Amino acid sequence: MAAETGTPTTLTLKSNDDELFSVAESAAILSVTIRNMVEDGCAGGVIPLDNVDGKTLASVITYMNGISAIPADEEKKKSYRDKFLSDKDFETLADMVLAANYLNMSCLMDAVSAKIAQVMEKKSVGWVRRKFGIENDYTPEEEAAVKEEHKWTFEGVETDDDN
Amino acid sequence: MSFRQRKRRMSKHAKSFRLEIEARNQIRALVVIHKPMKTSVKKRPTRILVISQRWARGDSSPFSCAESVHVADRLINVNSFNNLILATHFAHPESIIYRSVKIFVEQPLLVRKLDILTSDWIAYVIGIRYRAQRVQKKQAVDRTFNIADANAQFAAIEARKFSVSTLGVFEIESVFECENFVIVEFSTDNHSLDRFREMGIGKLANFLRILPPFWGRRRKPHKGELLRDLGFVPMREPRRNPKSEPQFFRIIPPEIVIDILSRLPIRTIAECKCVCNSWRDLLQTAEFAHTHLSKSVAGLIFGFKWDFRNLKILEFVDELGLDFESHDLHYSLLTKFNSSMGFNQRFELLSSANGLLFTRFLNPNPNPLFICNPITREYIQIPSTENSLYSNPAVITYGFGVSRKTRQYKLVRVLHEYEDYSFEKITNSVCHVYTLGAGIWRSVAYAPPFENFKRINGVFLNGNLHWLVDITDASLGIICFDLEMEVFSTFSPPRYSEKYAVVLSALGDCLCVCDNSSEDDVVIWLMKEYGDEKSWTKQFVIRKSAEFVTDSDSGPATMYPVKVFKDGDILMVWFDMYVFCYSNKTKTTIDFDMLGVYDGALGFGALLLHTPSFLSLRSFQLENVGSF
Repeated sequence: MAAETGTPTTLTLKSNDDELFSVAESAAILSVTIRNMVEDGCAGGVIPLDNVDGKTLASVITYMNGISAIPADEEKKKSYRDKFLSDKDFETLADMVLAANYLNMSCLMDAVSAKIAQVMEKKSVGWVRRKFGIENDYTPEEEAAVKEEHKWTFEGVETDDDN
Repeated sequence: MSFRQRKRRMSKHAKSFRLEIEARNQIRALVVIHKPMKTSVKKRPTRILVISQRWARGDSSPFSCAESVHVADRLINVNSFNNLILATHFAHPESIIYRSVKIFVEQPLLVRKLDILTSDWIAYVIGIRYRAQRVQKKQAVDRTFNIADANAQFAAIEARKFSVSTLGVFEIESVFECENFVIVEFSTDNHSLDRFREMGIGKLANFLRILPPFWGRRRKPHKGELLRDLGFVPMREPRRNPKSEPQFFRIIPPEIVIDILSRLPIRTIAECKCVCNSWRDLLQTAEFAHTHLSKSVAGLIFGFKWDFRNLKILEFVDELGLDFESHDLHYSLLTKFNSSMGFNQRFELLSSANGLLFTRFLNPNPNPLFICNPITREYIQIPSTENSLYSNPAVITYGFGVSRKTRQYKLVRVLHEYEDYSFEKITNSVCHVYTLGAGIWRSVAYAPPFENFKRINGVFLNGNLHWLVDITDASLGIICFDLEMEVFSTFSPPRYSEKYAVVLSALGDCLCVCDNSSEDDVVIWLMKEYGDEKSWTKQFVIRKSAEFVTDSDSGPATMYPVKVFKDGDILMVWFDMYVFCYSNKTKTTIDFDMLGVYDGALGFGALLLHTPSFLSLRSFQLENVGSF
């Protein structure tokens, strides 16, 4: 292990569009998926990550490096996460949540889910449909019925439609 | 990202998809047969098969889906759900209560729901994860089920001649083959399903029974063959538009969607139900309700004395990670509602558990009991059978909570009957439990050993209910009722000076005893380790200064803490009617002027900690659910 030999072990990760990334083992094992591979001794060569593309993987690795450089201080880690996610657009966040799920990184997963939720707050139903690529499969009557079920939630709420 | 890449992700995810269920009653198990997708088979759908194994009928070997349809011959629904198709069916046709069936269908992800099934009936779930493209191009078909055509249609099915045209009254969404089984997914709505059931849903079983025409073939048929066997003319798959809209929520596994949506504020979640059918289905699952609850912070529910019918729910906004300095921002109004349920009567708000409220109306006799969820605006009236239980004066105590393991919601009623109105000699004690969904009160073998419960409602914590009781004239005890095992036990309370102004409550995760007997201070004890009597700790001591808000002529009054804020302020309730904040820093009391001092100064008719939730009362079978 890295700590014993003094030379940090480096792992090579391969995205599904064949980009290669080097990352310190100590940072990479934030991903339980990768940690299991390391523990099973099958992380010797290149680790293929079939479900993550290069752009997303680069982001994830930035996060791995950033967060593992912070000592055990939850406050600082939290503020790093906030800063890290602050400039990400919706598409990137969507890719990252899938990557975090695949890599089994609960801390990133939590942070990204929370960020997506934060972005969704106070947005109109129309915005959500557009952004998430969801087709409205309600008939107008059905939609009215669903609204009626929760009509109290629509009382006195303003949503920003365009952001 | 290309669609193919996304699809690959999805299949990876499929590998980790597992459902398990505890063997219970006649349901032996629910297993997932995992079929990993071969990368070379690009055009085949990814599939997972979820099947229950056979129930006890002398034979323990697994049955195939086709057989099970044959045996049970009640197929209730085939439902699509975020890339997952679920088919539900039941045996024992006489015992079917449609609503319970509907619940199961509406909450297909919640396999846990099988827990509450009685042994009278059996359900199985078949899930197939399928790709987003549909075999049949989606058309704007009239979704109402045409009952007039139904007989002809089924005749056609039974003659094994059905085709797209004879089935045209539903919208056929897709056809799936899976091992020896084929499922046709179609759209219909609940109303149609209802009528469908009335005219004999067993026909649908026949419909499925004929589906595997290739039964017994060695080789698996191609999809084209299958469709031909079924009378379909295979259609070309719709061409994929490379610039198609983002498919994020189509591909993202439902548990992640649940995770994201469960972090939203209550109002936004309710609005999300309007996004599309599959989101609404997802948001109605108990799975979602429980994930959401686990992330929620309790707020307050209260009603003022002068306006007791209108209850209001407050959320404490600063507890969600925002650090507000000012007390004014500690809370915001989430909703208000009239909870008189059609009774123009005074009621008591007895307890709140997982977003469900337990209320009792004080008139007529026997007192009507209600469980309601103010978020989903649903209520259940619990049958009141008290009158038949006693003929002499009696005292009834209640409790409401959720069992730890099986998550059953239970009401507990303890009745002590006395010889006469001097209330000195008990002639009869009984304890009854009402499990939500079961529809009846049943008696528990051992009634509690003590009388004189200090308060009418039990304190719910940790899957148990607790009451403070008189053990002797001079001493108090805490009795504890385990909602899972339905047995009583006792705890010793901490030291207290006099027993008159001692209140048991729950504060955070701890049992709490608040002693207001002394003239000098209020002592708040916490049981730091639940169940360990040695862990009672004197957590707060509030000195009563001259201007202490609770000074009263009538001597010590009941007082208990409701919540400790992050900054150390304690929200206290006094006389069950007034609320104030005690600042641990400045050692002073502050008015907690929720929605105006004036309202609060007149006194509260009801005040409880309450965690809003989306737990639908419709998930309890055998209950008549009303809306308000």
